[in-house]
Amino acid sequence: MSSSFFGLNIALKGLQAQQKGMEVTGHNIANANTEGYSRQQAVLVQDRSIEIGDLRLGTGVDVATVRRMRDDFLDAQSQSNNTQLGFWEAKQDMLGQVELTYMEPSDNGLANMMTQFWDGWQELSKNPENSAVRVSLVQNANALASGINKVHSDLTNIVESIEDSAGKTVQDINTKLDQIAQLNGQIRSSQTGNQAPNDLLDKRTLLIDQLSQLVGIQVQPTESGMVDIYVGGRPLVSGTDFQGLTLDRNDAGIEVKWAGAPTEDLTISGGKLKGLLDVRQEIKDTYLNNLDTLAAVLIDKVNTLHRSGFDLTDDVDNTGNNFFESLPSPTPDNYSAAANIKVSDQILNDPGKLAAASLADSAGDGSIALEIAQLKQAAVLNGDTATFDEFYTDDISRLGVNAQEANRMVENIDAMKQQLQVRQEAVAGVSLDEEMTNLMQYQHAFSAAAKVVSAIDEMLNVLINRMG
Amino acid sequence: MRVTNKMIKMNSLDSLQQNLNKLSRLQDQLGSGKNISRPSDDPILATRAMDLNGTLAEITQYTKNVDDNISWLDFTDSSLNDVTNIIHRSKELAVEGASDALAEGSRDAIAAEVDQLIEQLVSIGNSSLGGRYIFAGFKTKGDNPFQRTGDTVSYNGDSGKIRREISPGVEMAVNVTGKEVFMDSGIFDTLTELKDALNNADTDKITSDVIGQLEDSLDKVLTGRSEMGAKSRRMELAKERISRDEINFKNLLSQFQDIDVAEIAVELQMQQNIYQTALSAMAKTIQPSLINFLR
Repeated sequence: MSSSFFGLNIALKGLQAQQKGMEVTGHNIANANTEGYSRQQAVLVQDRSIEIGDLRLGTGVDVATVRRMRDDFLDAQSQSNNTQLGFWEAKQDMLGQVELTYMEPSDNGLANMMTQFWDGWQELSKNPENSAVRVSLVQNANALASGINKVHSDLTNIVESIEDSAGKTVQDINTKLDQIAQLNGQIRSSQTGNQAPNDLLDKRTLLIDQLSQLVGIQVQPTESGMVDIYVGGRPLVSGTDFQGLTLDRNDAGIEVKWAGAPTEDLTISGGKLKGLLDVRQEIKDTYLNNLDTLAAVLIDKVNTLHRSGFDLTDDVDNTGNNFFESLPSPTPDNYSAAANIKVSDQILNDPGKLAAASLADSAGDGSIALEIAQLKQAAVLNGDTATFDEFYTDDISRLGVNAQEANRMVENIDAMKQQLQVRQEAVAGVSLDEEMTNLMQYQHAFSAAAKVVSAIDEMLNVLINRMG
Repeated sequence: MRVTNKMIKMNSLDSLQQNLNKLSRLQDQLGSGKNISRPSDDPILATRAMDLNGTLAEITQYTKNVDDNISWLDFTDSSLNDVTNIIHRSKELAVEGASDALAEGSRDAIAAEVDQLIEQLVSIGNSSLGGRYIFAGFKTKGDNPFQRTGDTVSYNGDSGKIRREISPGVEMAVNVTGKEVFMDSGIFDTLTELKDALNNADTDKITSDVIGQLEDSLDKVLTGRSEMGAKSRRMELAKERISRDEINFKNLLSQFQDIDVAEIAVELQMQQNIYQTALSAMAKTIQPSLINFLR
């Protein structure tokens, strides 16, 4: 025979369980818009039954655990997707800036300035004695030289801003690694039995998700719910310990090292950091380098011809002058022809010093000017296979293709990210309709349990007060 | 699949973003009138457009060169025409002066006219186009290329050939030098001889030497003229070809880089409709939830 008060106990458990259910629902609703939050669910189980006489009677309900609704497989997919997205977004952003620098195709680009420069020489070859033509050629040449200077300094600025951005990214990575290591510690100490620290896990998942966009990582679960984070095979986070990345900026370039092994090379794969490093290298090796080559060859070829010519003055010895300021010889290692190209002061001050003639005292002779104008058609670059125009257009074409690839990749990966987010949201997202329904359900169950209490109360009242 | 409020929000925002992107691209295109504004829009199109722009600029330059050549050649031709007229007139005078039936004093008058013709030839030799002597070789500036002192005429120019490019790598000399026209033909010497012979009433010399020499000179000048004429025709042909090329390339470039305004405008309209539909759909789906219907 069970106790008279046994029913009260069952009702009490019912009240408590429904109340917990409502609390979990409240928590869900409160966090409906919290980034990284995973929906939670109170898992109600029936309490173990007891044997009374011939019967097995249930003893009510219990909240076994609060479950975190999350698909770990989707998280892993999302991380590798993020790593690609971070990589291509960095490239897209920076290459977009490089595109703006060149301003092609338009009338303001170097292509058009070069055309005007060569046309200036054509006009000079036809009118070598005309001072207006001379002045206009010098202006065109000056515009071209400043145009090349400007593109060079813009590209250099982009490289510098990439280096700054890489530095900030490394700091960002380190901060996140530090937080993950700390969360590891908190998770280990709050994990008891099968009661997982759901909200800490959410925080860590969100951090890992953000981190994976900055740099390619491997996540390795270890004991007590902790995770280790590897970058390039190195354990940056190991349990509650963390050792971050450092960024070395020196003359040779920038290098990412690991504080745990500062002398060894570290291979970064993917993520914003890798994208920045790659695009920086591309700008330096391709665009800046080719611009320097173009400027150096232009200076050299024009000067060589110009030195053999005679200017307008009657002085027979007046040859051997350079049109552009000459390149230093031997060329220093970090000398940039594109940064330094400039029409010589002598010619800027007196366009009469332009040497258009092949003979002394021959005002009407424009043969040297014509030879210089014909450099436009000459294959003098890329091992004498490309003209100035072709060489430059090749760069623009390469830039276009690379930037287009980055745009397309970002678009595709972004679409993939949306997909993954939607799928994770289907598991982990809070649906207000659902929570409201649950709330009502718990509310009614709570009222019913309360009803059971008052029914038993009435029964006991009858039993205790009205009998005897 | 569970559908949550956030999912609807994410999807709606995403499609709104995509719509806005398309809208802004179309507006860019309409604003600039160009298909592409940066190389990554279409790298192949962009480099083709750059190539074509370069070619068009070249064509423009060669058109200018050809036009300049034509004016130089025409001017030279008309000067040479004057020279032939002077030689014709000299011949008439020589024939007249060689006649024995000439009245006393008439030969002196003829000699005076020959002297004037020499002056005129010198001034033709010194003619300039746009401030440049056309018969002085490279010495297009400074002192006159022809100077007459007494009965001798000296040439101070040189035999420089002014070469100009008329298409890539193709050069052409546009000038004839004063040496070719006036000195090699010996026209000044011949005329001086004629003048002296007239003054000395040496009719034999006129008939035996001078008239023949004048014909030789005429031949040489005419040869020079026909060369100029041939070059002039070559320039006319070149000009025709270049302007044909120019039209072709302009069409091609326009096909590459210019938008079809009607098409883009229609697309823009469509895109705006889609955007508005998306907006109103978003307004309808985001708003209500179960809460709106619970007491």
